[in-house]
Amino acid sequence: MNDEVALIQAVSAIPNLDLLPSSASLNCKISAASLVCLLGQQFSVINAYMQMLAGINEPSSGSINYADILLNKGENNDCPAIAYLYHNSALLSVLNGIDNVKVPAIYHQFAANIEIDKEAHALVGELEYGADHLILPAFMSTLQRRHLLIVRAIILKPQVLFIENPFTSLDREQVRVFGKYIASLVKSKNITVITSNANLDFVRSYADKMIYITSKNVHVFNHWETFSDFING
Amino acid sequence: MMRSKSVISVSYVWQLLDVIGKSTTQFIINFVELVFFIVTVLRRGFSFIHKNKQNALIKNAVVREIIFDGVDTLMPTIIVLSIIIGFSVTAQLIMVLQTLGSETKVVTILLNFVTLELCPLITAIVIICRCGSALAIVIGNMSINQEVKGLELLGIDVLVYFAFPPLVSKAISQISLSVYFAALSITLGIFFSAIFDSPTNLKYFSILIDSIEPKELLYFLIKNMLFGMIIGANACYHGLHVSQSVTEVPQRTQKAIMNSLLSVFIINALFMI
Repeated sequence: MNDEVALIQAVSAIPNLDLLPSSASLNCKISAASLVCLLGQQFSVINAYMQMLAGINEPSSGSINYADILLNKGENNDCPAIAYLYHNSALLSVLNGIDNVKVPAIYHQFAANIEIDKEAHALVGELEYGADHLILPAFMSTLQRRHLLIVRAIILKPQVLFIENPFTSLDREQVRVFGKYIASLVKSKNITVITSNANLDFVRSYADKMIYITSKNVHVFNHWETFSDFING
Repeated sequence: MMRSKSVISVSYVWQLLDVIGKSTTQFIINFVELVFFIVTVLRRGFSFIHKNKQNALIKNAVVREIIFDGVDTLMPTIIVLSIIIGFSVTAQLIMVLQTLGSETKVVTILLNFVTLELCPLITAIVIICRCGSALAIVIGNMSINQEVKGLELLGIDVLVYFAFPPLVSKAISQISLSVYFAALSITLGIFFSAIFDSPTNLKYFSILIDSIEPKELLYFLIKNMLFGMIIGANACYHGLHVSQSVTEVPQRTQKAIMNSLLSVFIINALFMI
């Protein structure tokens, strides 16, 4: 984890929650190439904080500051520096897996088509589970669809990747494989991953920072032990 | 008693006028929104192509749509319909009209009625039923499944990726299918009239070709282009407006089909004026 570069900084930021209970302000610094987990009892509230951090929704008060390198990347390449995956994001049903992955890269002309094709095959090959990526998403497993959604997002080389509830509907073994894959993005690709989830095994094994959100307070932890002590009372 | 009956009938008339007024206002609002939609899609689409000349993504999508709308519709739908129109309309018109007027009048009526009015309208109806409805359903389902939103978050302009190719391809398909339809229905009609009436009717080939003017060709092209674009725009506009429920898909598809039909007939009427 690189503590020197704070990619995203939240200063007394409160998300805009029209129908949700009033929420507490968030103060935190998120470093480059780190894995941050947002936890709590209500996914809708947690996801509201995630969307606020990603800049999808403006905070009702406070501010979210992004590092210059994050903003410049977006301006220069016309590619989003922040990728966001909703819990119900889906692949295009009319394209096969590989074509789905290639669409954003071809659209943004990220590289020559041959290179994009190579890159797409290399990225989908990183998660080894013997799946055919030339079929339509309707015939894929949940794990394969989730994996390809992430690959489709990271083919644009974003600096920050937000993933809402990545482990929903996955079995224990799939959670293990997928969790390992998400953690590998931080180390191998230097991507800052911010995720909302309720899987404490994943949090304990991989999280660099834990943000625990209740309706009254937001607690930020930098170590599993302190978070664990807090949870256990 | 008489007075109360007349009061009731007056209130019904007012209600009827109210309904007609509201429907007309709604249709006009939708039409204006649709025109803005078309202008926005075309502006963004052509700007994207201009900026990314090497990018084949949108061009390939246009070609794929033309194959689906144009080539696949030609066989057998347009060919079968042109045989039927050739036999039932063109041949009948030639046989009836030549007993009533001169060759020039026969050709003028054939050209104005069959080529410039009937063929574009029937082609548009075929495209609305076959491709417009399918497109509205596909895009509607994609919107519900968050497939559209997923791409939007990756910096992809939804209007360029989803709406521009159908708009352009439907315009090209409508023009080309209309040309095929008109040519086949006129040719086959003259053949049928030659077989069933008199072989001298084959003379209408040369007279017809000589009487086509560039102004009429331009009119034919512009009208068909507008038909195609309005069909594509209606399908995309309503498909992209599906937001939450699966029940919205058939509702939006119905709206897309009805608005396309109404728009096509209104454009046709405006061209007559």
